[in-house]
Amino acid sequence: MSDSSPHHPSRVLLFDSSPETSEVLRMVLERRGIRILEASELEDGLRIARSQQPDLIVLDTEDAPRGAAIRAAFAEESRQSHAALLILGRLDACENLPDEGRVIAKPYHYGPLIRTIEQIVEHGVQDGVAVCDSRPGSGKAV
Amino acid sequence: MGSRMASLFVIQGRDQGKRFEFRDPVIALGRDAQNTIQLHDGEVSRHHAEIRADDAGYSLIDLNSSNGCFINNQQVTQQVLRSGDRLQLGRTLMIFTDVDDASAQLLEEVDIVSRRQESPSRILKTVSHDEGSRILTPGEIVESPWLARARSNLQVMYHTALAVSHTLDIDQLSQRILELIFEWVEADRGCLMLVDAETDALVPKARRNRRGLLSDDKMEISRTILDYVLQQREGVLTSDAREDQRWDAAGSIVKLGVREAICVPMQGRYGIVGVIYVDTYTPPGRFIQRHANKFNEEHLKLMIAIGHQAALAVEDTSYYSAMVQAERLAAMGQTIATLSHHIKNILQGIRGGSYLIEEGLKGNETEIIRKGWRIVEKNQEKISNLVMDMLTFSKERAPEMVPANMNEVAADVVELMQVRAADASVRLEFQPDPGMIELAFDPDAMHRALLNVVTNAIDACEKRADGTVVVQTECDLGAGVVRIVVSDNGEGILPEDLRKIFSVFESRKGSRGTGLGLPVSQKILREHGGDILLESTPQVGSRFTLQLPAVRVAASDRTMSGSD
Repeated sequence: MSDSSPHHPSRVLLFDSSPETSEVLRMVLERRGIRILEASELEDGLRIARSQQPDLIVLDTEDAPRGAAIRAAFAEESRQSHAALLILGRLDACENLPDEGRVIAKPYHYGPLIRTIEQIVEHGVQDGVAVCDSRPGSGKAV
Repeated sequence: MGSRMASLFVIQGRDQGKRFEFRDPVIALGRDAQNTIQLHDGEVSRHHAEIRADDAGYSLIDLNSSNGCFINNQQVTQQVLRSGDRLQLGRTLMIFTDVDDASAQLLEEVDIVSRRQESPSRILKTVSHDEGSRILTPGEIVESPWLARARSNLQVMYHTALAVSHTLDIDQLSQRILELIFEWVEADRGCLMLVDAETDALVPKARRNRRGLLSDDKMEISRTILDYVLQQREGVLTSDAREDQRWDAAGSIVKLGVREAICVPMQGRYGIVGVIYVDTYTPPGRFIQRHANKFNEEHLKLMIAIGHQAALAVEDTSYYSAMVQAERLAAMGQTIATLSHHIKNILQGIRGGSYLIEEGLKGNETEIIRKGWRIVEKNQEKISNLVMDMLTFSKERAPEMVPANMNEVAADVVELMQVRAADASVRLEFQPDPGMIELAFDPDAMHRALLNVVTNAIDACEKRADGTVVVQTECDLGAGVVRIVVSDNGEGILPEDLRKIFSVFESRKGSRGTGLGLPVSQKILREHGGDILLESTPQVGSRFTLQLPAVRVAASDRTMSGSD
């Protein structure tokens, strides 16, 4: 559980092309006291990230037509605002993982994913943060 | 530079059929996995050679390999590559292309007998490949009318063989080659054997007997002859051992009454691809008049020429087969990757729904369980639709034409899709044609075709505040057609996407689309003799018209179906 004070709950921005994943994460994380922000367009997402300053940005852009560009824009935003970045799905072959980022490959299990989100919003991105899925290639530290 | 890349295509060796495109300025070739092009060939060094891009194009550089590099059969240490060059490393043979240049039964029937088992026969005459091939050269002095006639027909044979080669069937090609040989050489028996690329062993591919000759005997072929032909690359004419003292030391060659045989190499562009063997056979004890059916040097020369032409046809067929196989594998890999991706997304959805159910059960919260279950159900429907679309797309089938009412099919689809439309905040309307009559069509297939189109229309409207999809039916007996028109005021389709929209695995719907729906719908309509017509304006909407012939139902069918 997040230990944030009621006046400043942890915030997670979900930028997701899949409404189902958003629905599941929103329902579960809100019950854990985390405030959920959502966007499905890049401009909206960046605007929300700047104005609301989330602790974590969760990106699911694997099937988005401009997935790599969206990830690059949020990686830059993450560097500027020091928000942690969690990417669901795979990166393109020539794409580098941003310093602030973690990647969790699909199909993932929601239990470990939610535990990872909770850990990140509580402690921020640190080396050695456990990535939720222990299968090879399912996630990696930078 | 053009859009295509320079490449190496493997035509012989364990990597046969693979195409390696040059994406980097330096291409390393060798056995180790770190090489840009890894060759699975024990005779290739770990770091065998490099191909470097330079002003002249691409140059091959031997990295002091154990077995060397060969371009067009010449060993080289460094050489500029030209399109069409044959590059051989170890046992791997590749063709370089630059961008700027425009059967078990036979195994039992044919025995290669070892030296110990061979009976006394002798090689009377040998002819080299070059000497034999001169028969094809225009202007060459012809030694007999028979040979002149034969030569004039060789071109026909080659074209015939090439035509057969397009069947991609080496066995069929081998049989055809033997048939052509029997038109010119009065042999009793013949056998064509090809070199197996993996084992280097000769494998019988075709066998033929002279018409009228019983074929249930086992064909024994001398190992001595085969070894001689393969090693010396020469055709041989053999006869009874007593007639030629030169072969006493080598032992006997053919046994059990074979008096004469011709065995020639199938010398192709890149090496020997096999051998052709013919003989005249007389069972032991049977008297045969001396010189009857006897092979001579002319027969041998002709066989050498035929062997060469046959080898070219076999190489063409193998090369073409390898290319087709490579294309097939690439397409299959793409299909599997695409389908796996869709299944992975569906699995992700099911896991999400299951997790919500689990969460709800922990706190006995019905609302969360209900939401979780709805996600599971939606994904169950997605996997069901994906499987049905895959089955429909993969099979060629005739529609099961039964009497049915298109209004009922459309009404079913609209009713089924109301939940999805409501989830997407899209209004879904149905406007049936009151004049619709019972017609003959495949109602299950049309249900699937319409379902895919309506699903697409709802998805296209999802982001619209006033998204509306209208399904109309039209029975136009004057024009002899029945139509279902699906109109939406969604995002529309860009002109450059219109052409691709019915192509398989082309989806603009991200994780929601499989790229199978519209191709399947189109296939179903075409199987009915109809088609899907599409009009679309970006940001205004789209109109899909599913049109098929209005096949009236015979009175007897109505009685049978009981639909009246």
